[in-house]
Amino acid sequence: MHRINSTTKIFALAAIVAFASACNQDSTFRGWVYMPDMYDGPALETYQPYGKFSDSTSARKPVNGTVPRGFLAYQEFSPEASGYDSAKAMLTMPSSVPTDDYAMEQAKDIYNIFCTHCHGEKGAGQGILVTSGKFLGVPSYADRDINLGSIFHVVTYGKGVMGAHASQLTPEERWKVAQYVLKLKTELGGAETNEEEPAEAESAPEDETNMES
Amino acid sequence: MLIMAIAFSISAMAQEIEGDAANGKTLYNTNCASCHKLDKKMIGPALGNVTERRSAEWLVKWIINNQELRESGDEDALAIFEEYNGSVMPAFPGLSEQDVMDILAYTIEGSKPKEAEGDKTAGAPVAVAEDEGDNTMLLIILAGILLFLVILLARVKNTLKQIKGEPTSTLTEDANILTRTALKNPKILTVLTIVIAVVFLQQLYAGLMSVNVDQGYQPEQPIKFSHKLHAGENQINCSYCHYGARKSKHSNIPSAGVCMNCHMQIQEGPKYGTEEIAKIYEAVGWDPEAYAYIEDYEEKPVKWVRIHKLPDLAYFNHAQHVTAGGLQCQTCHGPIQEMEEVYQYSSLTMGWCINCHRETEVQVESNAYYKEMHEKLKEKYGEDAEITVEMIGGLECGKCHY
Repeated sequence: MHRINSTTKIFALAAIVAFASACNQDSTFRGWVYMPDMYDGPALETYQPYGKFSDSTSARKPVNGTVPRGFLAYQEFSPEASGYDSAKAMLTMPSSVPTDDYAMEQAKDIYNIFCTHCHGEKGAGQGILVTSGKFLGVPSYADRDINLGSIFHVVTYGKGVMGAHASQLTPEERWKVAQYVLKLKTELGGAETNEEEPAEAESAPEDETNMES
Repeated sequence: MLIMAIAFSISAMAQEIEGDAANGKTLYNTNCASCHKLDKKMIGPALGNVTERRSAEWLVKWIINNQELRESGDEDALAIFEEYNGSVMPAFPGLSEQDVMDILAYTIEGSKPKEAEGDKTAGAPVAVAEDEGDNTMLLIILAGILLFLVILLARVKNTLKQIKGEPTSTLTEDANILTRTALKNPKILTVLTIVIAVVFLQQLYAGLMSVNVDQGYQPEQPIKFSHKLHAGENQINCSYCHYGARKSKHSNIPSAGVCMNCHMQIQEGPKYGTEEIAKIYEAVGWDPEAYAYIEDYEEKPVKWVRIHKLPDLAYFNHAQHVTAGGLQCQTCHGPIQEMEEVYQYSSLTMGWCINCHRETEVQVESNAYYKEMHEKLKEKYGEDAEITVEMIGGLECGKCHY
């Protein structure tokens, strides 16, 4: 009888230990790994901290003068207001940027990802952040004196409350989106603009954003 | 006397503004708000109660065409132009004098303190906190009542025993006797052993199967960034910040510079006020008071904690799934737009990957790039067959392990 008693005790103890470890509901704990050597390779992963550099980040800036993939040669203009004026006067789109329908389709996708929440789907300055009153001062494209060069400059360096989008878009993508902005401006015309107007047939299913799945 | 004179002049200035503040608000938001705030300096000076500082007549001239005013040699105009380092305010020839009056009326109306609104926002978080506390409190009270009942019953029993003249026993003695009698009974012992064994084995299995699986992992992040607010309420496209997912293997974490695209202007959040947004400013060296970047500031990285992590032995490419496959982010990451704090939604096990590759249909129609390959597949599987990822090689070992 005494023997059974102690066996039960061991069993009960093991059960409690197993239960306690399995019920570790702490969601801030990543969990156990079988073989860490296979899990974490010796090569650095993106964003992995790395102690050999003084700021302990493995992400380094490219060497000065590095030419990025997809680089388009274009005239440099300063981010200042004077740069805007000269870009507006002189900056022209490189001939290598496509202007066909497929490019415009891509441009529309890019516009709907990067611009709509402020500028609105039709460029009337009535994006969701504006209509909800969170971000103010977005003009309608129709009211602005803009051309390809000035749009490219503004997307690259920002203007007023708009930030620089150079890190998010390649130069080619910026040229495409500049074309699309001009297209929207023509569509808006000088007439009264109303964002609530039913969208055109072509812009129905594709421009659903990622939020709407 | 002097104070009275000043007070009189202020009220006199305020009185001459006769405009429709509601129309002014609309005009202000479209034309002025990109550079001016009511209560803070932005690209231009704060405009709240600007009529106390300048005459309406001067403001009308300045707003409609400031360049003309400057060229006329107006000293105030030149002074303010110098103060803001010669940044040019555009002319607004489209605004009528009455429009400007409306805007000025709004600058007075809009800078009045909003007490009622403040009360509402202050009340809301308290109510939430109470809701969360309710459950635990209830459990504690229940446990207390049960404990009280046990002690009460033991006392009753002892009192009854005393009346009968039998020896009394404490709670621990009772428990001991109960355990001993139970363990002497072989039936109880068998059932107990089986129950414990089953629970133990089940827990052991579950415990071992959960090794390397981080589903539900929700670490605390350095900034209390809410995807619910940004992606849900504000409907900012995932790719706006995670722009790398469209083009590369890795879906990037946005740099603080991308945050600044909006948070230069939006300096206060609805939940944490300025506290969390200030962490972005600290990272990039932005001075919200001066509305400028601090010169020669040593930028500090924001140390986000990684959630989704595949083992090194498996290869995964975001662009392949997002751009070529046309998948929504939510397919794998779950309802991100509803997450206040992000957690790992999917298990990210191999079985989970394989299952999706077996079930997901490839969008053959709209993809001209693979036209030739898709025609061969149709030949092989029939015209109307559903082409899954498996059929285009999605289960081959070398696709992910090499």
